[in-house]
Amino acid sequence: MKNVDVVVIGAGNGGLVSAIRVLQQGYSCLVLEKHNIPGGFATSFKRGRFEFEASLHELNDFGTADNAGDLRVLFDELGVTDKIDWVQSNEAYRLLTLDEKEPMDVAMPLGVNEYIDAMVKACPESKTSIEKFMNLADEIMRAQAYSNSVNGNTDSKYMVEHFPNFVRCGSYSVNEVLEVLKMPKKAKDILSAYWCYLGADLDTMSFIHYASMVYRYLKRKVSIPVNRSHEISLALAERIMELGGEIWYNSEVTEIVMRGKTVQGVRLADGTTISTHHIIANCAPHVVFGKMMKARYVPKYQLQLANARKFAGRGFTVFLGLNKSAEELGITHHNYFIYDTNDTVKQYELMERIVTNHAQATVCLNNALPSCSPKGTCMLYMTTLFTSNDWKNVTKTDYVKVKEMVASNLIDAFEKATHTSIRPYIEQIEIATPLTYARYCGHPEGVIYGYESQYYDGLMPRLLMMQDDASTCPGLRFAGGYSMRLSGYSSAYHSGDIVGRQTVGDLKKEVQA
Amino acid sequence: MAFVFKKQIFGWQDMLRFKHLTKKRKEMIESASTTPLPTTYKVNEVAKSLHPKLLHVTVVSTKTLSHDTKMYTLNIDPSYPEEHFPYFRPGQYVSVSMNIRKNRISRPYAIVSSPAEALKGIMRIAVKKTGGIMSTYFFNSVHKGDKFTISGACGNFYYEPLRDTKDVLFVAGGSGITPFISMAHDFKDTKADVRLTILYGSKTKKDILFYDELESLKSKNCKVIHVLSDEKLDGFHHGFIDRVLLERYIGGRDVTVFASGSENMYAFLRKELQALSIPDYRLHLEANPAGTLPETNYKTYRAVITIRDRKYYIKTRSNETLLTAMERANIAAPNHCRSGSCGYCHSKLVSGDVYIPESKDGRRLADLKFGYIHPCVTYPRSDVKLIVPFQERK
Ligand SMILES: Cc1cc2nc3c(=O)[nH]c(=O)nc-3n(C[C@H](O)[C@H](O)[C@H](O)COP(=O)(O)OP(=O)(O)OC[C@H]3O[C@@H](n4cnc5c(N)ncnc54)[C@H](O)[C@@H]3O)c2cc1C
Repeated sequence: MKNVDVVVIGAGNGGLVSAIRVLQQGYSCLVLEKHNIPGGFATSFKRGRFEFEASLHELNDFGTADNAGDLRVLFDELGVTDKIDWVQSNEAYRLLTLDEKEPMDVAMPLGVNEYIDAMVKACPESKTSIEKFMNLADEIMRAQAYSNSVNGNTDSKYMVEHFPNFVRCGSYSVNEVLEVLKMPKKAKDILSAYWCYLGADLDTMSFIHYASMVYRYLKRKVSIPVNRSHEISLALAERIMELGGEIWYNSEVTEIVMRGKTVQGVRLADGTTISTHHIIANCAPHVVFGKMMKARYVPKYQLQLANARKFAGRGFTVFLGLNKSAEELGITHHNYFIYDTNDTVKQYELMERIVTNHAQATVCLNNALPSCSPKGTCMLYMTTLFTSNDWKNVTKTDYVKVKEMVASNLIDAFEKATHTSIRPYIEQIEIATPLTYARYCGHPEGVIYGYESQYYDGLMPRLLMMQDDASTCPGLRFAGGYSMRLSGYSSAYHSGDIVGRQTVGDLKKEVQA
Repeated sequence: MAFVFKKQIFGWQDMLRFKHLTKKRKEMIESASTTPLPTTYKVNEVAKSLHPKLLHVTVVSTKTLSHDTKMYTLNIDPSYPEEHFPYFRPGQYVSVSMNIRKNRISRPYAIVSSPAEALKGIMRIAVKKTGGIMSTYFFNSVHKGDKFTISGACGNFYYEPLRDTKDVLFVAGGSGITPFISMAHDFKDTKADVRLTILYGSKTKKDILFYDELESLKSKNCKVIHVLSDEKLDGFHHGFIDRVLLERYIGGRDVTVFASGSENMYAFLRKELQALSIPDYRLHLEANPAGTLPETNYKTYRAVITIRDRKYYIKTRSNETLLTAMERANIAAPNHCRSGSCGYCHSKLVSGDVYIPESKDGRRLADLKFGYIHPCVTYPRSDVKLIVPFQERK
């Protein structure tokens, strides 16, 4: 039987990074992936003369060599930055609202000062509040850097002394804090645009989490891999092989083999077993404790933790290859947020139902990377989220009709909001639904964002309770969108980093014992 | 700027609230239910039923369609009652796998039957005798009651209402008619808002497949026109499906064309459609598997294939794909389309030179950068080393 120090279940963003961390410390590591390629959601696919990005809109917190974000620092340490070709964009987003009663059409730039200037231009009375917001966000980022430097074992006195505002605002939601800052409604609406990237409405979303994401976008601007996210995934896989690790594809883990409370190994769909005492799972705890581990081994704490949580959004994307250039079509921006309403709580409710949701984060990659499709063409991806499990009501015979309808609605909404016509120019189309995502990565209900960022289950409480969550199940840790850094590319990579290093710590302790 | 964030009357209340974040989370966890977690989810189950990985089938009848083509009607093998045919997209294919002289061989076949038939537990495929290993075996040795496995339905060769026009033309050559039978049935079954014209080229009337079935599909929304290249017969067009014929049936209309037949037919059709100013993007082609290259004096090389932690040392031929070489050596390797488009055989070329025909090169940009290939369309030009994903032998 094959025996390794660490088994990683899933070659998604979190799994790949964690494997590199383990290998860098000289331990053996086997990554088991049910798919035939690495990356999980981070991949691409071809249709005709187009190569579509499967998920990434843009990477935040990466930056350039002289303005490096945390993610770039991590990629440098992993030894992958230079394996990937990057482009940068200075554009934050163009925000549009479909509701005629509260019209919105504003384009925002990246860069902290540029963003403040644009905000003041759009809403002159917002100057003080947006400056205060940036001030808070900057302190949050510094507090997070401190927390990372001490591996999460923060000294509360030091925190209160050096990052008092971080502690003071740390328990509030975005809307609660913006109210204290007396931010005018229009500015609030503009600043809220990124909310769908985290998927919880801003009455619910923790301020720290949201502010730190927005600030990292603005400060480090955004980066995009020239060859789609498939390039990042293959670069990480390449690094794993260079370090002597292995990735087995078409190798789904179906069981975690236990003896008493200790992990003994994993069993694959074809019956092969691998022996190990350390597992990093890059998949949902719901799947691990609901399916992979026999019920009698599942710790009560993990059961309750899973039952206490709420799934975040289920994904839906329309990929369009258009046979006219972005310029000809009047598609002027790289990144569009189009909402039914500016009110994130109302929008969240509209997103519960298949028929009421038109919200979309839409990307025209050509406006950041003109060479991404042949001359005279462009690509457009429209992504939306469903905040309830409405797709469970779709039968197999209705499925194609329903997905065509939702895609058609999103296209209509885009045309209406941007005053463009794109429908006649569709040369290629692919539609991914919650069913697609459920099948592709195996996540429950087609969830693409892990567990929702609730007040009690947001970034801070998860980080602060990282040890509690892991301690009830020694030998098993979670990386990726379901773990302590929550969902999104950067977060998934960072959680892979944290968990990879923690597992190395576990291995070292084992030797000492 | 000494700005102090304060929400409560006293600042320490804000701080205390922060401190209580984890307390609140602990309470949430402690008060949560201990009911076991679901083992699966409805959405995941419907997805699985639409895209089964593998199905066990049995032949319930065979029918000779012409001197060189037979149809096989399949049911799910009753020993696997939990399996069902998927409600697939008409135009898709399945990859058929069987043991032929102890070697595991797979080939893609377009589904002839409709999605509605699949719901009734029936799937039909048609096999033309080409001299290839599986078609010969099918023809000579597969009978009623025989069992083999198929993949779920694959491929993107289907009508897409958000992309395609309401005027649709199918151009079929010979056994290329198979996916169109499925598609035409589905248009009829679902009352699709489509005006369909089928131009079907055969050598002689005897070579026409599914003649009666096509007759039964005819309606005001479905025209069927037979074209015979080697026979002159009343009521049939004589010659090829050329611009004159195309002009006559679809001239002046905005039309989406689906074509299924030989590579020669595709090259000719493309030219004829250009003459009628039908843009290339309106043409969708059924992919043909990569075959043996016409090299009379092929060279032989060696290959080292790594699958999981096993290494296989095999011989390859310059005129055969690396996938064929693996099949010949009886190595189970993943494959579906065998035409470089589905990506299922995605493998890492560690070293060696290869040839990949441009028209079948479906690699992504990053694949090129990091040396990944699709063995199903890759011909060796030297000794090679390859890392191939695992494939269960079922
Ligand atoms: C359409 C879309 C758009 C998005 N846009 C953005 C964006 O612009 N910016 C951003 O930051 N984030 C975005 N995201 C989110 C981001 O893609 C995810 O948060 C991130 O990729 C999650 O990584 P992960 O590590 O959780 O791995 P996942 O991508 O969830 O991968 C998990 C892997 O584990 C494998 N696996 C699961 N179960 C098993 C098993 N039993 N055995 C073996 N292998 C298994 C799966 O096959 C998969 O490869 C988007 C997601 C989607 C779908």
